[in-house]
Amino acid sequence: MKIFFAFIILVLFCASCQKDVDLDQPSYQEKIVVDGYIETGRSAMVFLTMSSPFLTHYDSVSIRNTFLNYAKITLVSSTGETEVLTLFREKKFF
Amino acid sequence: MRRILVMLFLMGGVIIRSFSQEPHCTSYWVVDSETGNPVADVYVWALQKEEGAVTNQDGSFQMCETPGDTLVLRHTSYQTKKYSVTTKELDSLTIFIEPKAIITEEVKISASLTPLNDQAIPGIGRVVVESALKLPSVLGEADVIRALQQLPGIQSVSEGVGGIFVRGGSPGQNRIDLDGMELMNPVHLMGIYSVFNPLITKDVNVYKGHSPVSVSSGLSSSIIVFSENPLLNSSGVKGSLGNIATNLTFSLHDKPKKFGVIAGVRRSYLELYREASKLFLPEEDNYFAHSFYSFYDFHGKAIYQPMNGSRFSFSWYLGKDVFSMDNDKIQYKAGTNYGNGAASLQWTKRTGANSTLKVSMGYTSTWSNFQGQVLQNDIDFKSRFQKYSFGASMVKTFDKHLVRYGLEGEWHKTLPQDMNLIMIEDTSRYYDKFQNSDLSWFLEDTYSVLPALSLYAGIRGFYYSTWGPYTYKKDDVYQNYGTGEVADNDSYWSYSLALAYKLQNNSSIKVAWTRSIQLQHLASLSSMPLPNDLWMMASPHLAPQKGHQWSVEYNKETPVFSFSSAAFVRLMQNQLIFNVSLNEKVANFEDHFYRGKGRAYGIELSVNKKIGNLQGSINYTLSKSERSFLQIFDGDWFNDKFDRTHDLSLMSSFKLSDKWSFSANWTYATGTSMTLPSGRMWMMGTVMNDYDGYNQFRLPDYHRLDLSASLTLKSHLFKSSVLDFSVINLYNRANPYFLFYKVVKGDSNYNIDIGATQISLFPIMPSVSWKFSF
Repeated sequence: MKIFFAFIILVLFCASCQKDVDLDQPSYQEKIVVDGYIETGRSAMVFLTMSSPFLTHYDSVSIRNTFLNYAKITLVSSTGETEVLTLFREKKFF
Repeated sequence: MRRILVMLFLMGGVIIRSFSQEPHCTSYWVVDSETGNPVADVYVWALQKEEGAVTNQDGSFQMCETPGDTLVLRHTSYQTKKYSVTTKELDSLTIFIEPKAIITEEVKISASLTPLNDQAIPGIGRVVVESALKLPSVLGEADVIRALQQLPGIQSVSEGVGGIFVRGGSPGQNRIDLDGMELMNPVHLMGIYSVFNPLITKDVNVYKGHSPVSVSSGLSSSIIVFSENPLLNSSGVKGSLGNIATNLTFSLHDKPKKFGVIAGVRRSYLELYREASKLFLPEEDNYFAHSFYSFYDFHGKAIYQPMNGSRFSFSWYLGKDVFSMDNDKIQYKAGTNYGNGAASLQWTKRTGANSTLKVSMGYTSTWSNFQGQVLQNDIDFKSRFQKYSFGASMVKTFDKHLVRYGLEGEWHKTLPQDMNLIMIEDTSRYYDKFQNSDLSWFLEDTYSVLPALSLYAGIRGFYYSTWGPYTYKKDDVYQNYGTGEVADNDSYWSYSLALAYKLQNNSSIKVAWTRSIQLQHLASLSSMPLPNDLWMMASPHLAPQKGHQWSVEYNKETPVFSFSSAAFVRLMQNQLIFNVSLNEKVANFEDHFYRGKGRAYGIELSVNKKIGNLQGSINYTLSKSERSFLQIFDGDWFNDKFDRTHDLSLMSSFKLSDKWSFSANWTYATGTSMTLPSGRMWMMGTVMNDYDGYNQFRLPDYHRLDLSASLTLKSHLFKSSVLDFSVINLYNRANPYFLFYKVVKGDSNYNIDIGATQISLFPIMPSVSWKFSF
């Protein structure tokens, strides 16, 4: 069914004119995004970022601003052990 | 059942007798003095009473207490006539009016009986083909449905969308009837034109959600298209030559006017462009060389009237569109064809001084095929819908009552999908077939309580069955029925109540409530209506569409202007969205849908000037249409894709001389809604979209100006010969068809801009066409 839909869209693309337009970005409430993983034998990782409105300009400053650097993250296991994660700089992103 | 009918009848009779001392009303019939044909759309004004009326398509109108009064009759192609009514109380009168070319003083009067109209019912729109032909045409093809879309409460055309949206409803909620044949998919060129041949169509009527129960209707509307009656038409040939299609029609009847045929053929000739373009354009830039489009339609009606009061009529329709494209660069090769075929036989018999019997049988089918090859994947998709129907109904007219009752039966065979997918890693086949029957009966009465007050009440019952072979399995439910077994039975009721009150100053107020049922669903494959959308009947696991509509209407007529305003509220149940992105294989076709509800409300305003050299109309609709689906954002109400806050259309036509006439048409509408991501975020090392609502974005507003001029040529060879010049989208507005996001990379690595790009289909489009008759 998906493929069928793609077929139809393609037909329309081929027979049309394109133009860039200004679209109003509806007011967007930025949300905190928690993205993490735990693997055996390695330390737990959590990436803490803010989501950003879709229709914006991105540059190195605005991308850097999406990282949330001031937060306390506590991991709690089912048996009650707790551990506070420490902030570090991920070289991949900078 | 029959006993109840008889009882209601007897009661009707009693009420009629008891009101016989009411003011006297006369039915008038306005006919052309030369041909004897009834003349529709004559504006009538009673000088003493200061009251107006317009003749209906049978040329009739009704007025009360007119003896001794003087009636003024006006019509563009006829001489204005003053007619003094005799002081005698007659039940009916015929008035002859003369065409403009000839001047005579003769007046003839004869008596006849004409039925009452659906005068109590609000929300009726009407398009006369003469006025539709005046509108600027797209590539030289006049279209009656485009004229219909200018009416208030019906959405004006949007970019590349051919569907008809009535009062916040969807295109699959209209029942479109052509001379007694239901057409399921009546569009050409992916929805740009309707299939109704403008040269043999007489008029189009639309009931916006309050159809009388005797008229089969969809949830939103019933659109009824009538062809010309060949017995009333003069024999001859008419035709037109446009930029993409030719049209040839003929009408003939025998001398005693017992037998007549009218038929028309249209055929596109886009292939010529394909061949011609090869001479001028290099192969790789040539759009025409990579695509092929053709359509035709053949429609006609034959009438045999062996004696007065008995008439057989046979109508047929056959039409097909073929579209194919191949482009090696993007490894794309596909074709689609779709069409309709229908036939209907009707017998109308006068069974007494005031009753008419109508028996009809019909067949209709629609199909769409899609075959293609893209990126080495093969797809073959077929969809079919067939219906056989039978009906018998009676119309009885009394002094104050118009009663209709009847019985209808239908047999539906639906094949919503027959799909073969051959992909590199996988081959799959989907095949679903359904058989359903429905039996319905109806009874309705229009009752003129007082000359100023009329009441309408009608009820229709449905007995709906799903027949085997039918299988449904899901979790612990397993149902299996063999051929000839009934899988499920259900009864449904639709009913309608309306009241109309005529006020002193020639205005009227109408109120109505309608409960409607629609047994079939149109499943849209994308958010745009396409000719490949699937028809699906209600089944044991897919309830029929149900709806309520309430509306109030106020109309006022003056000799020159007519004004109409209406307000409506609608509720819709069992609305469907076809889930195209379902990844796991679903065993039952019925489980492909999201089920939800809809609501719509709005105000309609319309002003018309239909006489004089300068004519025009202003139609405006302010409305809101929303949907709610439990699986989409927890059932939050969201704007329907085609919700339009404002919808305005201005039309005017000006007759400069016998030679030249002009018309202009400006349309403005709020942009359609669209779902786009509103935010983005980092997730698992990539960027992901964040959606916070369905249809929460608005496309830019739609507006467009069209102009046309027509030049009547002098000719000895042709009876008439007219050149039409049209310009669609005069100021070349790029109206949005749809929109997507585009990422623009800057100089440095992290410098990225996200912007929106719109696709539009129609630039400025001039065209010339030639219409002739001989």
